[in-house]
Amino acid sequence: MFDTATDNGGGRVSVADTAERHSDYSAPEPPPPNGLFLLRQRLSRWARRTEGKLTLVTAALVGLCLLSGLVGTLGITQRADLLNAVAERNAPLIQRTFTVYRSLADADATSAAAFLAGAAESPSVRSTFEKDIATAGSALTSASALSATLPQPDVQVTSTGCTSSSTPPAGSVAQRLDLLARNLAVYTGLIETARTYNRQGLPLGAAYLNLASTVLRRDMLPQARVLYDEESALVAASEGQAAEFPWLALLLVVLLTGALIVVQVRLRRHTRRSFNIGLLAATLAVVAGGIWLIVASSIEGGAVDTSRAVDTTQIHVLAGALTDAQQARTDEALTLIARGAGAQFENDFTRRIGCLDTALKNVTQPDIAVPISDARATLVQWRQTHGTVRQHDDAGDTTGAVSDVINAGTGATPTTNGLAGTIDADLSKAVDQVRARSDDQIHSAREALSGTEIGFAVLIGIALVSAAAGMWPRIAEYR
Amino acid sequence: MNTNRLPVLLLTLAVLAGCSVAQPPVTPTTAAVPAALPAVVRSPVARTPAVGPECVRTTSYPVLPAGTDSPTLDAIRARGRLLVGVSQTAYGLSYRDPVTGGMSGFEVDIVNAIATALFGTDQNTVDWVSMNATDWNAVLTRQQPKDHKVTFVDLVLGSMTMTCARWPKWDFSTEYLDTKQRMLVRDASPITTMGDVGGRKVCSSNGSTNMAELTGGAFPRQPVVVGVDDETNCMLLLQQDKVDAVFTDDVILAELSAQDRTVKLLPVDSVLNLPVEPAAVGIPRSADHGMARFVNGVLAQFRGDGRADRSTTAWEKSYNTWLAANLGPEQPPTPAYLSP
Repeated sequence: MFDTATDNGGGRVSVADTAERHSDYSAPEPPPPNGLFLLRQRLSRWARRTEGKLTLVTAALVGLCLLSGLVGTLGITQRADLLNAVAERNAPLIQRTFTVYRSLADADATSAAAFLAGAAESPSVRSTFEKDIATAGSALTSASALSATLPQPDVQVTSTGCTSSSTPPAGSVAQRLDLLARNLAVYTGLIETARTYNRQGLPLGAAYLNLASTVLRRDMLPQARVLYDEESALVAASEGQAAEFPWLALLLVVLLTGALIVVQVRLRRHTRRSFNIGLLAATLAVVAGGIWLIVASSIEGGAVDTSRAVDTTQIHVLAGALTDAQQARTDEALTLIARGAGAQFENDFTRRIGCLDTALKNVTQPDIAVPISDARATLVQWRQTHGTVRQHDDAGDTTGAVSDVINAGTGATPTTNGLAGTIDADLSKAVDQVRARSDDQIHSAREALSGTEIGFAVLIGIALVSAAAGMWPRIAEYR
Repeated sequence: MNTNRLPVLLLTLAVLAGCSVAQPPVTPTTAAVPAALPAVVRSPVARTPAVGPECVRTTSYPVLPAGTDSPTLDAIRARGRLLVGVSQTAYGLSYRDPVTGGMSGFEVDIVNAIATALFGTDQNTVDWVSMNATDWNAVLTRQQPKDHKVTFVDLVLGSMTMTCARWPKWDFSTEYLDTKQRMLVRDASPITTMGDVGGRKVCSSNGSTNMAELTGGAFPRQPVVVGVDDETNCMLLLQQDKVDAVFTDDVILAELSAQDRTVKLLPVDSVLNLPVEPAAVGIPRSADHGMARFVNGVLAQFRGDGRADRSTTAWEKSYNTWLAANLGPEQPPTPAYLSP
């Protein structure tokens, strides 16, 4: 490295020779024998001796060991950290944000249905609403706690289900959660005001209910939706990184193995000793470490890939379908509440139901085939009953239409609200099942990696010590 | 070669290995209260000078003699249902009773009288279509606006003022209620007369005549105008302290104040010289004005035109039931007819 400047092709012209030749001329160049120059002279002389050569080779082997150990261990640690974050923070956070979204959408649908039923709301409707709000509040709190330790998502977001017409507002995870928490207080306040006015028979109640629904649909649901989409994208990105095969570490391991073999062959030629126990042990340790690395990474990568595939092709689709079902249910009620001005809600209903149908068709996983086919059958029924609702409403039979939707009495035919609830339950079951499978895969991936970083480090450490120990007596021979 | 790259590599690895930056938590000091605003809020609404002098035209078509055929009426009778556009939140006038779920109010009584005259009964013969002043123009001129579909209706009631600007576009019945433009403020408000609102936020509904007065320079000092799609939303904004006053017809304001005992109506301000607002039924125009003339017949009955004792008319009965408590005693208006 030092003598490249004076290296001219084949024969080496040493720095020392050049310096001596220069010193023969008295002038014009000033002699440069400073400290660095003298050190260079010594080093290059030493390096040309066998002892020096052997020491350099040993140093190279040790360096290579250190480098592969570092790269391998750090790589494994990094992937393990990503998986830990996914399993312990991201995935629970996704679940919480989804819970927030679902409970809010359900609260909206429930209050709309309650409005249809009149001021004398049933205890079950009241308790459903209260449970929704409590669930949303609790999920928000634990999501905030989880998000405090998470990095800012900087990912390409793909929205699930029917794409929303509203543009996702900018903000960090913490800001979104904070906004949701503050708006949840406003929303519940508005609903309680509406309820109080309703009980007094005053129409300000309807205005407050309408306002509450506007706040929820305009200011809250899009935030929860974006949060869910962002976190999902973040998990996909993390999993993508965690599933990457450690090519660099493997390359270093192969280089190290090759170097060890070359050194052994050369040593054997020079020393007539058949085996160098130290170097042999080092080679075996490196090969073992390499195999461990390959096997663990392959198992881990495979499991993470499976989980990611399940996430993107199943959970995302099912989650989108779930929210579409919720929104369609609210649309149906709002169409009746808004009456003449309800065409926009009816259009949205048709769109959501279409999306729901497509989503259900796209889910082909055999182990959730039962709940999915159940949901599809219920959807057919819902569409039929919705036709009846529209017939009644278009014919001016509002009472009949309302009864088709919420069935304030005790009819034998299922109401659309009930059918939507059935679909919701089926899809929730499917989501839980699929999510458990994805979590299992992440768990096996983590297990595959567990201990690998220590094992690899120890094996490479053994290789380092053995190589040094094997080389030392050879160097000592020249002392 | 390796020695040169090692530091870079190590640095890269260290960065990758999880030195990711955790975001700072939002510190809960004094968080801003999110504003709960209605879906449509235009603020401030730009000042637009009135086109020509605002005028009021109270004359309508003569009553349709009994037994006269009209294609409009035949179509409605064949349909068997009357489609009526009303507000569903105007307390006392036309609102959905949250306890019973049925429609109630002074204007609902008028619609029921029309339905009874048409079909013989008002039971299950009326479709109530929820709408407000913003929708009137599209509904009554039978246009299809781009943003949302409107249901075409046979009648619209909503304390709709008979104005010269509206007469060319659709028909009006004869007048069924005399209203004045007034203002609603909080009890503790520093505003004591309607002229005081210069620079303050005043709410009214988009598309109404009151909005035209607010933006057309009727006030000596211009208020900041806030427009919503329903006067009831103005009340929500007033209760949330987002506006200082609500400006609309006294009948609507009296019924809004009846739902909240911490607001008050300001007296009529003669300095402002605001025109009276005769309320009538809005009807899509047809060549023979059949529906308008038919409704005029029903209204003549309802008001008890020509009767010496007005106290027993349907008008008085309905007015006393729904409006008298908050608006004070009132006489039915006297109709004016165009010469045939």
